[in-house]
Amino acid sequence: MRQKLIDEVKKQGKPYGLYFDDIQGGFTLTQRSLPQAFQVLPVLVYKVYADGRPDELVRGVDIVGTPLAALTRILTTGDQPRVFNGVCGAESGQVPVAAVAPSMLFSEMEVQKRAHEHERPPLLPPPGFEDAVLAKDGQAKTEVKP
Amino acid sequence: MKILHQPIALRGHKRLTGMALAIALALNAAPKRAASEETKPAPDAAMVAAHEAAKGDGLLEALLTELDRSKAQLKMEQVQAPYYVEYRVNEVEDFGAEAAFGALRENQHVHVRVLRVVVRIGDYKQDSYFARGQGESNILPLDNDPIALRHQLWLATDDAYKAAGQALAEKQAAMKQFSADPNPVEDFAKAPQVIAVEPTASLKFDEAGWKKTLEDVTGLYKQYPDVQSVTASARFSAINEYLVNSEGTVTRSGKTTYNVVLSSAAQAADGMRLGRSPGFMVARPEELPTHDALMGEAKKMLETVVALRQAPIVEEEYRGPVLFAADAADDIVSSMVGQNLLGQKPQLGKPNRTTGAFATSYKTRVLPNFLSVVDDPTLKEFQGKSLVGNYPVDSEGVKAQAVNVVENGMLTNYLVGRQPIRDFPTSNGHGRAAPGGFPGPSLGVLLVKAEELKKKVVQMVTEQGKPYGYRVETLGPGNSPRLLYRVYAKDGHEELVRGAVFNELDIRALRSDLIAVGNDPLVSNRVGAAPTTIISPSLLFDELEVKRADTSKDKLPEYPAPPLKK
Repeated sequence: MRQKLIDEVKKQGKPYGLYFDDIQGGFTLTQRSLPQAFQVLPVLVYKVYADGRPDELVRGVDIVGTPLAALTRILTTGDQPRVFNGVCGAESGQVPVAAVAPSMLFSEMEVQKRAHEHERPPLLPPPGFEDAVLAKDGQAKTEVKP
Repeated sequence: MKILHQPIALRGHKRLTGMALAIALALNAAPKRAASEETKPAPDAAMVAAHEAAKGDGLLEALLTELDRSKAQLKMEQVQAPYYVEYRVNEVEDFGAEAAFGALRENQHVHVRVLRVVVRIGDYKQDSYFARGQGESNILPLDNDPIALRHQLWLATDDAYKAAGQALAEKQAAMKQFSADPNPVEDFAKAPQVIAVEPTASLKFDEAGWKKTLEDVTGLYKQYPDVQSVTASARFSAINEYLVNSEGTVTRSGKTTYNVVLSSAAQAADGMRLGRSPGFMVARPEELPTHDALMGEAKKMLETVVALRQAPIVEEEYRGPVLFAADAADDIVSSMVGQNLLGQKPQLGKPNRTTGAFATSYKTRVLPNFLSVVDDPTLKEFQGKSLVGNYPVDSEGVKAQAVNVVENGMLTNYLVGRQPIRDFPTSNGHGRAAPGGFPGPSLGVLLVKAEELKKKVVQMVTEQGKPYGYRVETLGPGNSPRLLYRVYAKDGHEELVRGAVFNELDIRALRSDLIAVGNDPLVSNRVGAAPTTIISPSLLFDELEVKRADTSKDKLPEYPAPPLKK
């Protein structure tokens, strides 16, 4: 699947593709009066570079789109389905649901920058770390292989 | 908004990653070395004494350690350092059970520690206690792992400090809209250091026995086909309150309350809804009614509900003597006297002393001159009955004290906490709070004292040439009578009636039409944000208006209850 992603990135002449490893949830609008759109909130997203550079963990990106347009862009799927057990809130209230799906490669998907506030981190170091010097930028590049 | 179109791989699974998990991981990662490094010498004698008092209590020690650190180090550029930091923790242990129609329908145990952090910047004259600057609440770990506790304290304190910075600026901006007060009331009262580490409290009761009692009591519905619902509940609660502040105050106190409530409802043939809900609230479990006693109380309740269905309706208006039994008088005293005695500071820019009906009544007559009222939270029992409104220190770390609020009818004091009001610059130990809530002025044990004996309603009714007067046995919501009797002048017999309310039962009536009280003070322990006790005798009004309640004519159920035989 990873190689297929890189192949597709190269085919489209893009510098990188995106790999969504984990998602915290999402929501969709179901009322008649609102657009039939969905938003998915990923927590682990990697840039997968076409030129062989290591994958780069990125943050602050959401998937948005409309269901029919998005689902027609599935190029291929993996052969190992995974089970998701969770709770889904809808008109019914919170009900437990299960979904089973393999990994999927999309030729195209719309993403947007996530809204966030620039809140200050805590002023004091955490208890038990009083003597430790806090890493000033906290931006240390994390390189993790998926 | 930037939109990227990229080929992406989307794996079809997601997990619910809760915040709790993230916090747990962070805590596990923290090495357990705090105990050795936390004992830096405290800067002043008050804090040394505070640390000494906290020794042996893991929670108090953790609170003080983090308090020291916050007080000494919290500082953002262009924002003042805090002048006051307070941590209050309420450890709540709750048991709740309810039965209906002979079967248990709720059974739960709760154990939770609720934290409240107040960080004040500015000074006692004017500070950040406004809007979000009034503090942050959170849930604390239940065991005494010092790092786990302090981690939550650290984050809550950081939030509270930042909120305080914003709140002070907001408050100062809001105050610019109002003309300056020539004699401004300070924002926060100074209070002496209090060190009072009292024993903790815990619940002691026979759980299986109580569940059976509740089931047995509500099983009585089988004998009363005219009653539509019968429920009984038990709510037992032990709350231990821990408080530390940067003035060196360290307090710990425990309190238990045991509350059993019976409830039943029915409809009269004309559709009027009728109900009764007698309750028992005590601080010591052995004072609760026994199984047999409670069965007797339930029968009494059900019989009065049945009698109410048959009782005549109060159709015509009545103006004349009304006697409130002690069990009805407590509600009058609580809502019409008690609530108005609270020295609640009005909103910014409002000129009144307090927000209640007695706001401008300081040193004027608010009750008949044969009545005096004292609020004495130090009172533990009255005529052998435990009082749930008793406490040794309030939720702001101030020692409880008796306050004479009404002396011979004259309002002489308000009940205040550490938020001063005009003419009352210091706390008199009445700042109380529910777990995690804002402290505010509250009653403790309110005692109405009288010097006159009971007079007979019959006498007065006869003198006024009326056929009957009224006697109220108990009150329901909104001070409307639950059990109301006509007392006939000719032979003194009583008749139960229904569907009446009082007109103009207000503080004026209480001041001018209350002519006598009985020598039958009754202890009424009451549920609330903070539990309170009212001790009041019966009250006799010279003239009150009783009139028909504007009830709706709901239909009776369309078909009968299920048959009792299977």
